[in-house]
Order: sequence, then C-alpha cells, then structure tokens
Amino acid sequence: MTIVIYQTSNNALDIEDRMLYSRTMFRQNFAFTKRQLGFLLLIIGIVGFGTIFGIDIIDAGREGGVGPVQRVALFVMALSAVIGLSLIPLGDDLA
Amino acid sequence: MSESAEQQSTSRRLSADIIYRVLIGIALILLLFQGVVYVSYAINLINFPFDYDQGEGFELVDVMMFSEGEFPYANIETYPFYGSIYPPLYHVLLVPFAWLFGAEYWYGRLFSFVTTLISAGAIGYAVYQAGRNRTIALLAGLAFLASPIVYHIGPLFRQHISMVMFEIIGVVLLANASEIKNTSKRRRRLALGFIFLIAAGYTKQLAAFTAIAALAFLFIRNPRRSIFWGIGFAIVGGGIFALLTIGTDGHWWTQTVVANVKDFFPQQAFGLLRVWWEMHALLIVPAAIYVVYELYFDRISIYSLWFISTTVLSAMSAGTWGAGDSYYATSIAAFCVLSGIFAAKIIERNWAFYDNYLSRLFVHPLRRYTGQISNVGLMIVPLLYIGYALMTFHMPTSGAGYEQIADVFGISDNTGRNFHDPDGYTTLAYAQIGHFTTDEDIQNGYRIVDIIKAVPDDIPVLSEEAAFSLRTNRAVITNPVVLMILSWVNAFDSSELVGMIRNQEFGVIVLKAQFYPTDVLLAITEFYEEEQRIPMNGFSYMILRPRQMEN
Repeated sequence: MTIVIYQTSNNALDIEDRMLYSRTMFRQNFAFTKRQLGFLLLIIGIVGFGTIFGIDIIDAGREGGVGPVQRVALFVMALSAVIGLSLIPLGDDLA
Repeated sequence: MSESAEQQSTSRRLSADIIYRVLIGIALILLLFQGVVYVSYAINLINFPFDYDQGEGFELVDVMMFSEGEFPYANIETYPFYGSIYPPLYHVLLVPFAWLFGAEYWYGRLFSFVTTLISAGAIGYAVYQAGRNRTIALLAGLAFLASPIVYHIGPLFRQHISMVMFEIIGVVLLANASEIKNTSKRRRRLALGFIFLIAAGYTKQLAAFTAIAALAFLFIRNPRRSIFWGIGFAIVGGGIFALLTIGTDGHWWTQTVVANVKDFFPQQAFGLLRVWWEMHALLIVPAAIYVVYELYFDRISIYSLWFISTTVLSAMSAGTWGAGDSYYATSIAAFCVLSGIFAAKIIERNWAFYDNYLSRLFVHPLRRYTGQISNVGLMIVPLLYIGYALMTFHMPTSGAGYEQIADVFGISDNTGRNFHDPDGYTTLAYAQIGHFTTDEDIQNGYRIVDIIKAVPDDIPVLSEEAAFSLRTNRAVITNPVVLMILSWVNAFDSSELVGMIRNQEFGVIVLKAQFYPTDVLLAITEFYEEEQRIPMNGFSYMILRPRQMEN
C-alpha cells in the first residue's frame, strides 16, 4: 500500500497544482484552509446552538419544550463546534 | 529483507489476490442477481395498467394536463377539485409520450427505470474517476440498484427517482469543476452542474438538500465563485418559481409549499433511520470513514458534503406525514459513491495523508504494517459488498426460477405477498411495495373498471385512484392527498365537494387508503354504503353506492 504523507503545508499546496492561495476570502483564488474551516465551523456551531436553544427562551409561551427536531439540530450544532475545534490545529492545509 | 522473507511476502500477497478474486466474484454474482430481480420487477410493473403505488395515477393526470397545455396547480375548492403538490419537470418530460400514447402507465415507469440505470452509471463513473478501479465502480453502481429503497421506487410512475438522477449528475459535474484551469470550460461545467440541480429541484423539492451541499462545497473551494454562482442559481430558480406562482394565480405556491408543511412524527423518523442503517450499515461505515479521512487528511470532496447534508436533512424530513423510505435514496447514492472510492483506494493502495498531529498520531505508526494492512483490505472490501448484498437481499418467492431459488436457499415469503424483503413490511412508513403484480390483480382492476363503466356517462364517479377514471374516459375528480393535507392547514374549503356527496351526485365512490379530509370521509360514510371490496396488489378497494335515505 502506498501511503503518501504530505510533509509540509507547502507540499500540500504543490499537490493542488500550486493553486494560488490568499488570505483574503473574496480574492479570485482563495480556498479555505483546514484552520479557517475549523474557525468557521466553530462559530456556526456556537451561534447555531445558541440560536436554537434561544428559541425556547424567546418564545416562552410555546408548549412542549425542546422538540425532537430541535434536539437533533442542537446535536448537529454541537458536533459542528467540536469538529471545528479539532480542525484548527491542522493549519494551512487546504480544506 | 531476506530472500525467504521476500518469498513469504510474495506468496502471502498471491494468496490474498486469489482470495480477493473469489470473494469479489461472489459479491458480483449476488449484486448482479439483485439486478436481475430489479429488471424483472420493472418489466412486471411496466406491464401493469393500474396504480401500483399510491398516487401514481395522479402523476399521470399531471402529465395529461401538461400535454393539453394546462397547469395541474388549480383551484382545488371547485369541481373537479384537482391539484398537485409536485413540481412539473418529470411530468413535462413525459408530455411527448402522452401525445404519442395517451394516458398510459408504462412510459412513466420505463422512464423512471431508465433514470435509475443512468444514476447507477453516474455513481460508477464517479467512483472510477476517483479510484481508478472498474470492478469497484461496477459494484458501487450495482449496490445503488440493490438497495431495497431504490428498488421500491425505481420503476414507479413517480418523480422521486428522476430527481435523484438529476442530483447525481449535477454533483458529479460539480465535483472537479473548481479545479478546471480553462475559464470558459470551468464556467460551462459549473453552469451545467447548476442546470442539473435546478432540474432536480423542479422535479421534487427535496433536491434542496443537494443544492445546499453543492453550494457549501463551492464555498470551501472558492467563496467568491460560490457566491457568484449561488446568486445566479437563486435568480434562475426563484424566477421560475415566481413565473409559476403568477401563471397559476398563486395555486403553485399553495400546493407545492403550503401543502408540504406537514406534521412531524418522531417514531416514523427513527423507524426509517433504523431501516436505513440496518440495511446499509456495511457501506455507510466505510463511507463515514472516508468522510473523516477527507476532513482531516485530504481535501473535502463534494461527495462527503453531499452525504452529510442529504443524510441529516433527509433523516429529519423523513418524519413528516407522507414521507417514506424513498427520502433516503439520495443519501444511498452518496454513500455508494464514497464507499466505492474508499474501497477502490484500498484495492489500488492509493492513500495520501496530510502531515498533521492526527496523521503523526494514527497513521505514521502504521506505515511499517502497510503490507499486512493491504492484504487485510483486499479481504475486507469484497466481504463488505457480500455482506451488503445479504443485508439488502430481496426477491420474489414465487414465479419461474425464483420459486426454485427460494426453495433451495430457504428464502421465505415474509411479506404475505410472495416476496422476501429485508424489513418484511413491518416499519412505519416503509413502502409496502416491491412484490410483483399478478394476473389476478389485473383482472380485479378491470372488475372495478367494469363497475364504473356501468354508471351512465352523465353521472360522475369519485375514485381515490385516478386509473379507473382514466380507463373509463371520465373526469378525474379530486387528488385526495392534496385536499387532505391542505385541509390540515386550513387551506381547503370542502363545502362544494361535501355538498356533491350529500346530494349523492356520484354514482359510485371507490376508496383505497381513505386519504380524504375528515369531513369528506364523514359525508361519504353518511350518504354512501359499501357494496363490495375488491383486492388488488394486496390492498382492498371499497366500492360504495348511494345509501337509501329516509326523508
């Protein structure tokens, strides 16, 4: 079995045919790195979790509490945040 | 390495290769057999002249209306109380057949069947493109067709599987679009990919889950391009939506959006999730492993995001009233692609890992065992497909050839309809179809047709199944499910229909699942009485006549 380890982040960029990489999101050739994607997922997870949970606090008159769909959505948001955290240390490898 | 150690290693490798070939042969035989069952089922249904699955006839009515230049999204509160909750593309594509052959079921079923073959081909292509292994690509395509969920709906006169085909083609087109260097070629590819996604959305609304995955993928690869194409996608999709809303005086909106806001049943959602998992776990697990691999050790592909999006969102929407196992069809396509790529990479020994803390922790220590891991992988891949074929195994237990096979292998009829199904028709909202129709079913269908034919032409007939009205050249009155779900959201005033029932204006009423609004059913019970029940496809059709009323 051939297992290739990309030795450095620069190598990873080489593998992608030296795709130009820019830190400005709306530049022509910007692509997310694992770290940036990690931050994005972390933010989505935290904000999403807070928003879904907040529905019950804001809409206090509603009956039934946290419903089954809401529970699934909360789990997905929590998972998103955890995955985001684990991606942050992966640095500048392309996502 | 010494010469004898090298010889030992080569010998182990050769043995592994031989075992691999035998096992992969068994996997191919099993999945090809499921392919034969699928073709037999499709031929059986194509020759069946009535509804097999609830609602097929109304799809045919939609086709006939489009063929006459009419929208099926009309005022449901006035005679003939007809509406449709589905987008138009599937029906529009069948219009030329309607012009040539009239109101027939066979062409809609044949069309759907062909779309499943194209879908399987597209899955195989995606796997081959990423993994460069023809056998695994073939197995991945066959695995899609072997899923009982795909099998159920494959040859039906329903739009769901055509949506799946458009989704798969759209995703395959977009998979490597961002990496195309030539700008005009890249734009053409992106445009084509989005056209297929719009086609999927205008075939059935669930394609939105695939569109979400496609846009997320493009966003990760290039946010600027994703936003540009996303805006274009929204303008075109929204423009068609607005035109349809205006062109139908708002009925398109009411019937395709309002009518699709339905109650959620957790028990149904969890039951279908369990079925999806229990039947397909052996391919879901490798697909999930491959998603994790891409997430941490390689670039994330559109297939991974597609799998996540369609699985999570389909699992949630599968709990709504009227949903069924078919909601997982796109997720099945996605895991067939991912598990196929995973398998091909194992066979072709073609893995690459980013150098990071996780690869240093989990991958580096394993590098010296790559030979052994590779040999084990050669065994595991065919075993996964063999196991999958057994877990999804379904076949008729009667009929030429099948009865003998069932006897030899001890395969029992666990559905009561001469059919073996891995679920046995036990789970709530799992489609109780897949069995073959019989000559008796056809004869019984024509018995109902004869009953309706005996009613004078100027007296209307209310049939819950459109086929009987179409076969007797009568007006199709009501699309019951549409009336029922719109009544739940107070968007249907039944007074005119109930008035006709109370006045006993219908010569005969034919009921099947009784999917009418409650007040309509109450009126039927009060003013009509059951004359007889006629069985067809395992369902019981109630024939009702006007009740003798005391004045």
